[in-house]
Amino acid sequence: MHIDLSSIGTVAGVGFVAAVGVVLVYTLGLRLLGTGQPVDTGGERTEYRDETPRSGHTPPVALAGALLCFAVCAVAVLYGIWLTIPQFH
Amino acid sequence: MDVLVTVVLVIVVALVFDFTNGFHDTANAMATSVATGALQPRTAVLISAVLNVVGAFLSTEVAKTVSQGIIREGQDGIQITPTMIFAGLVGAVLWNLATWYSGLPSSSTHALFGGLIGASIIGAGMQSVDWATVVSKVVLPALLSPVIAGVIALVATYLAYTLTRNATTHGAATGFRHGQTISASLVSLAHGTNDAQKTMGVITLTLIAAGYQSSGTGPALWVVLACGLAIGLGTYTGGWRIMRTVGKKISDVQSPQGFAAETSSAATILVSSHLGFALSTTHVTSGSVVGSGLGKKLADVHWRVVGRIVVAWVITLPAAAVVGGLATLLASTSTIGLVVVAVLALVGGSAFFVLARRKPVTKDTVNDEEPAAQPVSA
Repeated sequence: MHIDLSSIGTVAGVGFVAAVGVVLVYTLGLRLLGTGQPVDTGGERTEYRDETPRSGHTPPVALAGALLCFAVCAVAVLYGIWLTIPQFH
Repeated sequence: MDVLVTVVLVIVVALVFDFTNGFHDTANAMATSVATGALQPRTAVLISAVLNVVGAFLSTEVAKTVSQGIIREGQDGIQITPTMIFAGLVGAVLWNLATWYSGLPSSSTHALFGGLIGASIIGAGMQSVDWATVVSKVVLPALLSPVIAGVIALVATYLAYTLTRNATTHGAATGFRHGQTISASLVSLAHGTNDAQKTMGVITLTLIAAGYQSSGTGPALWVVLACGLAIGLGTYTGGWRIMRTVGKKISDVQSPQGFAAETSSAATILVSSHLGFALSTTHVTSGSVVGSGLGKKLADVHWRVVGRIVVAWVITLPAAAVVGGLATLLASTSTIGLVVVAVLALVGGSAFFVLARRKPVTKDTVNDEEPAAQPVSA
């Protein structure tokens, strides 16, 4: 019986790096976007309508960083779609 | 005449299987988005249905692998007959409906393979099944994929909470919901490129076996169209029962967890499909949800529900195999036997629908953690 341990390992390794990487970068983007703003006291259950209005000052550097983070995530998603569609490769 | 009857029956049952696959597996992609309120239930199933149909058209690679490997075919192997395929599909459909009624996210792929394996054992003997392939391609991935996806989702969830100070960062909860919409859509697309293919493969195999199509050719356009629409329609009808289990009963999923879980599922499925390593979408997404519950805090996972799901996973293949085997026994006797199996399958399938209507789960109750209290009747 042939058990392909190396491809199981690759799935685990690449999957880990890709998923944790995207979540890390996206979360970092959210964190930068929220820099200098009041906190949402409701935490994870905060609905959009319950958010305190943006009143603080977010440094331009943080905004640029957030933009970069979201751009990286967008590229990751496009790459995922590219991988899904066999006609592309 | 006999062959034509069988082929028509196979196509009908295959499309029914595709339909049950669609509404069984909507839960996989969309459950956490619906649970966190990222998407309205109707919107979620609509997006999922459209992407499933799109996925069905994108790739027909998987369709070819279904018939190859697990059942030994060809010159030195056994010729699988349309009757056996029909009986196998009956087993798969009935098992899918049984788990759907119980709200358990079991693998439609395992049900299909189980049904076909049972049918071949009865129809052509033990030696017709390549057990080594069954273990390495079906059993082993089933054991490992939920663990892999779970560990990834655990780490991702932990990071998502830590970096946003328990999601109190301004706009974090909303941001995670937006992210979820994208990651859930990717899972849906990946699902479409995989699952609709399996039915296309079965129908094509039958047409070839019956001599209506020359061997070595891919699925015909009408087969692709019919399968895509069947799975899309099933998805749109919505498997609210299973969605409630995945989104609410395993763990009460919140947006950071939902985003982490869906991203982990999408990454795992995409990487493995790309490497040609067959994973069940169901197993991956359920594993991710458990992982995201653990990443927040251990007590969040309802292990009793997880236990029931694992039991359903273990018995899916053998249970579908038994039904498929029994159906073969009856269907291979004569055309009358075949019709009897079709009628019995119809009655059995309808029974689950009737039972389900007595305790319905709809788009309005999909996020209730416990079923609404039943009025006491005399």
